[in-house]
Amino acid sequence: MSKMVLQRLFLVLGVVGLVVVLVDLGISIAATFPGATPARVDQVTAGPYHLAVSLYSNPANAGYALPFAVAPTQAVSGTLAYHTYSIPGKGVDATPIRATFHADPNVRNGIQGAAEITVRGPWTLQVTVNGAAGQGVANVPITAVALPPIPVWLGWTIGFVPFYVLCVFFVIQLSRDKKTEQTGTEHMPVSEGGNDVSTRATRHTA
Amino acid sequence: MAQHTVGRTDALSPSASHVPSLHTVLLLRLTAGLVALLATIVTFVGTSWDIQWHTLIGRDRTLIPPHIMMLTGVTIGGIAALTVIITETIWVRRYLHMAQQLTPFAGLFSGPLGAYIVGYAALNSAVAFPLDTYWHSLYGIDVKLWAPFHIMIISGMALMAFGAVYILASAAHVAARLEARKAERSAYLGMIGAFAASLSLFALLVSQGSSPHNSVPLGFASFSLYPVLAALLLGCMLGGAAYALPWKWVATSVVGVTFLFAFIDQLVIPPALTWLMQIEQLTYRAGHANPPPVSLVAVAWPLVFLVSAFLIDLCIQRSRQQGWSERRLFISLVLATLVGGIPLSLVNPQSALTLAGSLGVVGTLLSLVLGALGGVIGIRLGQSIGATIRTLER
Repeated sequence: MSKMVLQRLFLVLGVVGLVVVLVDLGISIAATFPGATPARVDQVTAGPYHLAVSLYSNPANAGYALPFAVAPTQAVSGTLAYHTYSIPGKGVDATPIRATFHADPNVRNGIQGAAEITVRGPWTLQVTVNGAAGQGVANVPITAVALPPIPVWLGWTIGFVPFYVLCVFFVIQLSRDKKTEQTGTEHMPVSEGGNDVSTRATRHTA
Repeated sequence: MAQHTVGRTDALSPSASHVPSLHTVLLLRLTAGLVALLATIVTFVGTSWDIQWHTLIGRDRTLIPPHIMMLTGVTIGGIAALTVIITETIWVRRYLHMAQQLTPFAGLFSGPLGAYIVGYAALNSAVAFPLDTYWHSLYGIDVKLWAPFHIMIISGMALMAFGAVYILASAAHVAARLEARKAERSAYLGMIGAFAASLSLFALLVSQGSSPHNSVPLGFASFSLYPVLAALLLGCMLGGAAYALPWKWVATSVVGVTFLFAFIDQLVIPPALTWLMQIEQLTYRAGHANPPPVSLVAVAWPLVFLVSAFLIDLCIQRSRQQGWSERRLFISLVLATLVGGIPLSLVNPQSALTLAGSLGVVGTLLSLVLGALGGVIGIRLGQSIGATIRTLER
């Protein structure tokens, strides 16, 4: 394979890599915004409060945010304060994560937010409500799915990509050194009295 | 001072008076190299913070502050590389004679070799991030540091620093031609910092090998990867630095700077974690309540690297003073790197004994033999890196 072909191949791979990063970034950002209609609406009870919990992706996509909205379904006196967490189910290797949210401008005492679901499997969206009538907790079960798993060996093969390139780089460098030694045309740097042993150690002519 | 221009100035240029001067090239490369170095230091601190976060709090989302810090460093490095490549490509298109001073790529771009390395490495780390998120979504948050896309991310960041060495080397040689001593010294100091940043990031991966859990079973015995990886790394980086820079005690300086990075980690990471925990109302994971205020990376720093670096410098100086043969010098350097293959850290001062105990006599000897092999390859590569860098102008 000629040098030019190899470089063009690297260039194409680089452009593809850049596109993948940008697309994933776009998807990650888009995932935090709720869609026009919820994919699922659960009517739940949190102590004295009746709530509608809307999930904008069902099942949730592991590794991305899950947009949600919470709204009281009955009139509530005063204001409600919320705490929301996504909690991993049994057997899911993850930690509870506090979900971020803000007040829903269209619904009094309602909120909109995004819950992080990091690992595939069963999760619970836990909504804790505090208001004039006291505190209540509602749990909404969620299932998170991920893209189909690639074989582990393929993951390792991809993960070592930097080292393949590094090896190619070193091979090219070593072969260039060898050529230089054979032709004896290498530029000899001026010593400044430091660790100047490279002349003797590496630059002898064969 | 006389105006220096890049390449020949007699032909092909539409306007020779506007040909970028060597001073401009020097300024561009020195700035880009130092920015790339800064970027890798940011990624190193971000990675240390991330290790602390994962261990004590748990991975909770993709864009946690440590990840943002790592991505910021990667982005800065990528932009620095892209800026140099685009600028020098424009120069070459306008002033064709400049092409002889630059490294062409794919028939489209021109720039210093180091900028391509930095750009590629930054992209590599950026691509690895979504892949890592995918891997975690499949296998959970407690994936070890030796996981495919952790290796891809961290080695990409380490290669960014390695590329910065090449950019700064080219800047140093341009400065030498111009007799710009301050710029030359800055470039050399930057090279020491960049070697140290690369060594530090690779050391994060290598240090995992000292755990008996990461030994490789062969049936009749098992061996540790730590000596071979450490000797290979030290040979490449410290050998490369010692051969590349025309100063004394370069290898020791490089490892000294890695200790400085570890010290910065110790100063920054514990308070940063506490601060963020308060802001994000987080709690420690089960089994990690009230951890001591230390950086997990700093206390696990491989201390013997300093001894290895000192021995490398000592061997090189003795060889110069006493006229050692090439063979004697080479063997001495390999043995010096092999010393660095002994695991020892503040958090686990007996790790070498623990490891040897778990490996047994055969496993320990096998690990040392492999370590020597790593040292041989590492020093050979280090010499090659040094020889290339010493003469690199493009």
